[in-house]
Amino acid sequence: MQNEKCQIPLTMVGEGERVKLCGVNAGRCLQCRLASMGLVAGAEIQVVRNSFRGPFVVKVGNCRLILGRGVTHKIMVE
Amino acid sequence: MKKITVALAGNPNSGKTTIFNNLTGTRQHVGNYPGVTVEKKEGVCRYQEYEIKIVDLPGTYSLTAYSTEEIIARNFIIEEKPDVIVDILDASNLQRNLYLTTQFMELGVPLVLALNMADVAKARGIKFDLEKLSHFFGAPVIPTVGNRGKGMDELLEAIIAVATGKFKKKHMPINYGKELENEINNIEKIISEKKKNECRKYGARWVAIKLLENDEEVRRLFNSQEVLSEVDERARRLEKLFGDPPEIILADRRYGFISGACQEAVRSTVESRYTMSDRIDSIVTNRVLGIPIFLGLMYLVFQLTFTLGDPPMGWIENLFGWLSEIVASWWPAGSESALKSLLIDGIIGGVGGVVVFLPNILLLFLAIAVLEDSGYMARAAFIMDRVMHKIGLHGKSFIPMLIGFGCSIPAIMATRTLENEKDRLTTILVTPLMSCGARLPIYALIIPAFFPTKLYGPMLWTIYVVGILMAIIMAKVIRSTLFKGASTPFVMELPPYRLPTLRGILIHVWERSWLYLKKAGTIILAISIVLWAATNYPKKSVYEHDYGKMLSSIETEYLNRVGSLGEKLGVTLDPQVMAAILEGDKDALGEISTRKNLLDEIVRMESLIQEAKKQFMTTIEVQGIEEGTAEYRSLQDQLANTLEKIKGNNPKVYDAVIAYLEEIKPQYEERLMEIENQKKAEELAYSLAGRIGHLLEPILRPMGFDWRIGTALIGAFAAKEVFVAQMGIVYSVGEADEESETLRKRLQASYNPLIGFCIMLFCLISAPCMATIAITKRETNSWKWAMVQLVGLTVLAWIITASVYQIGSILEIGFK
Repeated sequence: MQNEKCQIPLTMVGEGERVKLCGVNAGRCLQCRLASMGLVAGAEIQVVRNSFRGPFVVKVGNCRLILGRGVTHKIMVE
Repeated sequence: MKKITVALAGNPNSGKTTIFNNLTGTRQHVGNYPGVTVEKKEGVCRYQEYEIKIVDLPGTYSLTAYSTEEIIARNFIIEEKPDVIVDILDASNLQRNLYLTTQFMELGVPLVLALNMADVAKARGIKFDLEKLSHFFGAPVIPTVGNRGKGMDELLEAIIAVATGKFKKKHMPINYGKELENEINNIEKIISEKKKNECRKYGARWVAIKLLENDEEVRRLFNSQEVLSEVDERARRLEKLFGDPPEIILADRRYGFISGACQEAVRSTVESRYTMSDRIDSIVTNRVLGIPIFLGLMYLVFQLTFTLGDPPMGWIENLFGWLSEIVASWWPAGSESALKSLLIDGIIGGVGGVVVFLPNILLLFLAIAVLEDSGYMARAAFIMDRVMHKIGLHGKSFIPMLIGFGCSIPAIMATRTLENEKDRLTTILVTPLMSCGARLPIYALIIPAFFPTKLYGPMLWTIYVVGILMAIIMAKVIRSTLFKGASTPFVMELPPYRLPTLRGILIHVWERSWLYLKKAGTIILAISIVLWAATNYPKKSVYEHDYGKMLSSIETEYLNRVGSLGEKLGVTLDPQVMAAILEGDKDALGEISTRKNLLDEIVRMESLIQEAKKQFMTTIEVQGIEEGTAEYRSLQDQLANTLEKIKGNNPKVYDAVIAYLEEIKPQYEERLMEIENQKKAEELAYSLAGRIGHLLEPILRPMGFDWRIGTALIGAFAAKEVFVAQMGIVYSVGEADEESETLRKRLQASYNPLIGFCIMLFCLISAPCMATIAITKRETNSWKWAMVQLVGLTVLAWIITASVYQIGSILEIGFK
């Protein structure tokens, strides 16, 4: 799944931007948890809040999720 | 009546609890799943000729083995085999909610889908083709509106139809694609031969999928090396082929199936838009405004809890006082019956001391329920996460710790909102370090006794800050030792804001309060009795002093003084009769015929003086006038005038009555009390608690404490504020409260400010009260953590207090 386009961690995405998830660089445990909450490859993510410190708020479909900063480092988007 | 068992499943925030409440009403039972802290809710619903038992499964996003909740939900379905599973779906978030549904389909269980919050989805312009959805997922689909109770009858009809087999489902397993299906089939074949029983129980296809997903629980079940290595080999082959482990491909395929189904059955006319929730969020989670809004709300919750809770607390106190009086009246006055003491001091006192906090708990849970059901709690977690992250906890832990300033009991109960077990235990263990309200009387006694007025505020502040710092340090220590390992990644849903329903909130509050009351009735009752026995037994039979003789000599002296008072006025009467008349005994007066006029005058004047004084006192109390103010002085003058008028009629009698009221009587009563207290102190020293206090002295010495403080500390375990009363008893000043000046003087004479500070420090950090320990036991479902809390905090308190005392002694800080 690691192609050239897919190298930006979610952490780098600014507030209000829309991106497409392309991979999760994490253990199977976290991958499956994120998948069950709708964060799978191909999902459209809108960053609602990114304060460059503290947790993130993203919108996936109609649902808002809080993601810890540690998690957002591992989510790769294009 | 036919019985049906139904399990309610669904994502968190899908409105599961609301539907559960709608179906079962108040016929609910809350417990814990065996061995874990996850709440188990059950209820019964009668519909037509069916008795439907409904079990509310924990909210989950999936059925993997990665979290306790998911394992519980899964095991319940497999082991208990409910007749029907109702999967509650949030209609406005359908795709993600259906992910869980696909896993029920894999299990092949009888399913009913409740399309909840259908009204919200409709308002957002989403249209559903129920027929098609039902066809794809092999289950009836019922639109419901949980918070308005719509669709409940239809839901029950569907449950019955599925349970009785009237609903014919066409079983269509999800097709995972050629490669995956091949491997699933192969594994199915292998395990069907090796483990027939298990396959029958779980379904071979499901087991095959779970083995491919590397599911730990299922792998443990099939711990045949042969099978597992075969499975691993196939999983590796798939990973090579697709570039991802099988569970990710499976998840992808499930979402593929869902989006295919939704494309056919769901029509959305409006793109996702800026909703009301977004608008509120842009304010409350704002970078600048977020924290002030949160702190403001918390302050409001606190103020409401403790101000609105105050009057009902008074009522409960009065109720228990009244109950004590009723019980006391079963015995003749002055009776020293052990049963009476057990009932009044042990049981009513002990349980009453805990039940008194019920109003606070009710109000606090009401506030929490509103914050939780409205969706704000998730925002609070978001806002506080940055701060709490530094001590290895999540944002959500902040709320219980804040509540801990009021009382540890509701605080520990509030940790239920924390999903993560490690976070929850850490929070439970450190919460008692937040200085609770019951410890305030101790500080209120000690600080004025040892420190100058200008240090009152800073001292109190220091104690609270020490508590907070200790909590932070301990959380960090526990997180890096006991519960080692990186904190679980923080992923949480921000539910849309919703107007909480009254019914949901009331059920919520009722559940928690009932748990609290039940605790008071059982474990706390038992501990109260033990503590009562420890402070009362063994009884002393031979006293160091002859208290009877001392009492009678005081009595004689009193009668002598009364007698001579009478003689001065020219009445020669038996001193006992004279005393009775002065004490207001009407019968005694009636029997006398000589000097009747004079005696009447004495009694009349006495009551006039007492009346005037009483009026003065009540005016001050009711209007809250403080000593030294102009108002106070004018009232004093007024009183003096009234008394002067009374005196004018008969100065001789007036002087005698005043001498009796202001000297003879109070002195007599004071000396009686002194002897009584001396006797009590001797009894306490002889009792088990006193002896333990003595025994503990070698351990207490390094902190500068003596056996008296030790004995009081034992009492403080029942409830922290008991420390003050217990100190009153050991220093034989009787019923003391934190305002007692006599007790303060005794403390000043025995200890120095350093010890005073050490007492506060030890009370702050050491073992919380028994009610807290009992709640910890309940909430963690094990005595182990309750004991860790009890012993750990006490040892910590000893180390810190002893260090402070020793260092302070060397540097001679806080000596007189």
